Amino acid sequence: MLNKDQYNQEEYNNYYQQETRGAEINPQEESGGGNKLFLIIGLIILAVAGYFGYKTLGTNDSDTTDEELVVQHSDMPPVSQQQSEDEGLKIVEAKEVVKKEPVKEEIVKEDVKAEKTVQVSEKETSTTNKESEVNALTSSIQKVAGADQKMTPEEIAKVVQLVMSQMNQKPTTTPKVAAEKANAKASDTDLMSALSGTDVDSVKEDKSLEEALSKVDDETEEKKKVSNSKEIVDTYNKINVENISGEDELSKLSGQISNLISDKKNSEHINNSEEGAVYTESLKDEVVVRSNEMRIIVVKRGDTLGKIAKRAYGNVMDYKKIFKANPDILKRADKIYVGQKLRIPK
Amino acid sequence: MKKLLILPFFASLFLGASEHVTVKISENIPFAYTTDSGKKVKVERIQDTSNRLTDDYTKTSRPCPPFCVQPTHVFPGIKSIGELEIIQFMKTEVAKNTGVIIDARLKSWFELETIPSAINIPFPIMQNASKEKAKVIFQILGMKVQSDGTWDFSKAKNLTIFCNGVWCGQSHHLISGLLKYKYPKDKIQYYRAGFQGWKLLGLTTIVHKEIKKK
Repeated sequence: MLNKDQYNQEEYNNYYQQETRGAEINPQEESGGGNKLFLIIGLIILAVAGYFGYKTLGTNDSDTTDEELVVQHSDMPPVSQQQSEDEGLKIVEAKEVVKKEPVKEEIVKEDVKAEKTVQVSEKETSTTNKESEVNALTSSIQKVAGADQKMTPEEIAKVVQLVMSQMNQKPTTTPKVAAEKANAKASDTDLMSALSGTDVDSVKEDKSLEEALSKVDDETEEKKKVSNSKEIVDTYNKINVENISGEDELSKLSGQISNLISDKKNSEHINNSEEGAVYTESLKDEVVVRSNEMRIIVVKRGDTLGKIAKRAYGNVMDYKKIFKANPDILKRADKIYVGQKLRIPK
Repeated sequence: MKKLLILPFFASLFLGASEHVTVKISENIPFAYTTDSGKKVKVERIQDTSNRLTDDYTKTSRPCPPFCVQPTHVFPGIKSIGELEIIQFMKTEVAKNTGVIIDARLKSWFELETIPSAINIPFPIMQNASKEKAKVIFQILGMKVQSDGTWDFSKAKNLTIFCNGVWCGQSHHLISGLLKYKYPKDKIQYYRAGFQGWKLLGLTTIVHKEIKKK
């Protein structure tokens, strides 16, 4: 980089010397518009080269982490030497100075650092993708500039031609460069905000917080659903022991009594008195009522209260019966969940 | 010695803190455990303080007779008990197989829903049972027949009998059948509030046969 800038300086000097010589040899002829033209061209070349130099440095920096920047900074030439560098380098230096600060902050914000680095590098990577076309051009210059000390006049001429052609293409590349600048600005603002630990990052953190909160919300929603499904089972605090037969003494005792009841002779005993028969019949009627009260349905996928009502009563509008019969489970008629056990009154 | 005293103290603190119970059974009993159908069952109350009974056992009026209000003392010498006593009975008598809780209702009632660890002896079985049949039932309940043919109730189980509640006479009928064949009065107690009282407190119930509608 520095070599390229040095080259630019030398190039300018050469042009200047040539101009000076020309002025000395043919003062009358060359002192007019020709000198001014060369001077302007030289300045333009310098400006363009400086601009691309800055861009090239910026692109290289995009792939470096803060730690690498620190190393680079320590490896950088002394300040006196830097002062002799061109404008582009100064911009880069300023950028690096700015970048130094987060390194200190990173000690405090270690957790945030990784995210920031990734985010910044991701943004810069996307920026470099957009700049690929420009970078190809700058890299060609860079390659040539990298070998500036050994360049021949022909190579110099090539570079000048390249720069001139680049200048000619300027109208077509201008939007890209503008976009590039915008991206650079954006990345700079990202960087600045990262350094100051303010706006953009705080927004990012807020976003991540929002995401985390939304995740928590989702989880709580899921938990609610799970707990809802638990409540479905536990709402009435019932434990179903259907088809469970224990081996303990109580279960055996219950089994023996049950066998005794199911014996036909004993069932005859139940109704052998008139009074008992009336009472038992009344109880049987009552238990039918209760059985109807206790009819349940397990909600399946695709069920709605209307569909259930249609199946149970043949009328969709009877969903209100089901809704009223399940006040503990159903808070809204349009919200039922798979697995819920709903009472279906007769 | 100090360690022996301190350790249970912290253990009780830890265990106490491990589960917060809003609706306890009583101030000192958050919940209790018993067994039903060979399964360990936690007896607790519904923790939703907004919960209300809906269809089940909210009915206020049934024809009387036969569904008439029962007296607290159904028979002289038969003790009436409440929920805490029945839970205590579960923890002591049922757990040690020295007592059983009897649901005196018809089988269909029992299957729909009952109290944990209860067995079903429908009242007509005893009410209309012959002496021979009563002997079989009593033997199941722990009565021993001596060599001289007398019935020894010394090892017979303590019985807690319940039915639907204060409006239900099924317990009354069962107890009369038991007393008819000299089952000791001091081994019988009556849970008058019955299943409705149990439900009203939101206590755990057992379903032996769930009625499903497709």
